[in-house]
Amino acid sequence: MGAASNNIEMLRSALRAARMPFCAAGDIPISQDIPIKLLFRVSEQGDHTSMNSVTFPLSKADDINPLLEACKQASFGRGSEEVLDPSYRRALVLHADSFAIAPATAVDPYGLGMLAKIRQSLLSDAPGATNRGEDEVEYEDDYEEERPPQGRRIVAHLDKMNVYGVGDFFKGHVDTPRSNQMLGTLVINLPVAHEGGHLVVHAPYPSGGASGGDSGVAQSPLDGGPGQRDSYTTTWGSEDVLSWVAFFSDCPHEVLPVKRGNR
Amino acid sequence: METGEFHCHFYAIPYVLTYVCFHSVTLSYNLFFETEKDTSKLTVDAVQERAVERIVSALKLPGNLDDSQPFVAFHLQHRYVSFT
Repeated sequence: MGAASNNIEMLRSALRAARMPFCAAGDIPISQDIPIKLLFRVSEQGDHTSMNSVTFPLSKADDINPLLEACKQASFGRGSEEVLDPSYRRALVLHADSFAIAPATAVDPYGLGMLAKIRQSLLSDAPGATNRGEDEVEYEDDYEEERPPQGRRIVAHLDKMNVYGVGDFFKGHVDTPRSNQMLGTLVINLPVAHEGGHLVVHAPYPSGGASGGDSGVAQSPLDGGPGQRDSYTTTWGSEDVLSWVAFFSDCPHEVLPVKRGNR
Repeated sequence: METGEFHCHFYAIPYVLTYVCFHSVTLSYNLFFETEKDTSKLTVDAVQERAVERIVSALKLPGNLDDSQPFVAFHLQHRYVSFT
């Protein structure tokens, strides 16, 4: 009898998990009057640090060139190593300690309500989480996220910036977990006109299926999986909005190649 | 059957050149459940103060901020910047 109850509970749990959303996304219109400035380190010699900046939206296409020159080729985790493999990932990267955003409120996951939406969408059924509406959380003048009565707040730590040029991509992978407290990833697309380069987020593998592993990049997490899998594809490329998507850490995801196109 | 003229009009189609950058620029954040170590209350002032500290340490600027440096001028102009 006990075993049957356990099996039923496991089945219920599996069904609940299958119904839970695996990602949340949104678009936030930006004010053309308040451009987003990205300040980044260009070089460093002794105590002297040379800085440069790029303003988004760009006035002209060439404006992004100084940023491209400051970036490095992006690596990724494979097992316990960080590797450069352009057949798997082609992109540029700037780590968080090398750039800053001004004004801070222009791209702020708290102030722009992204974290409230993420908690509402992804954690509504989690133990301790609440179904609070986004409009119940005040964000106007401070960065405090109101603590749900029995819930846990989410914090977002800026990790890096990636730039994908024409033909750049990142094949399917699962992110390397940074700690036991990490629940997912938030990606914000800055307002730069482009075509392609969409992020495709796939639902996690069902229990017992192929897995991306505990760390590093799966060899082919999107190949050979069992049947159809739910997925969400971004529609990025607008200069008028900040587009964002957040997903759980066990979701395989990939960046499709940035394409040349007509506008 | 009445015959008529067939008029063919040619219009000048305005050709608007718009640039396409062909770059996708993304910021990635790691999402964590808050722990006791995280700041429980992040006011704007706290964010600004922390940003200045991080500017100095992360970018290895001199501790005594000098607005002759482009970055500091930039910082003052925009009040504060954020690394987190």
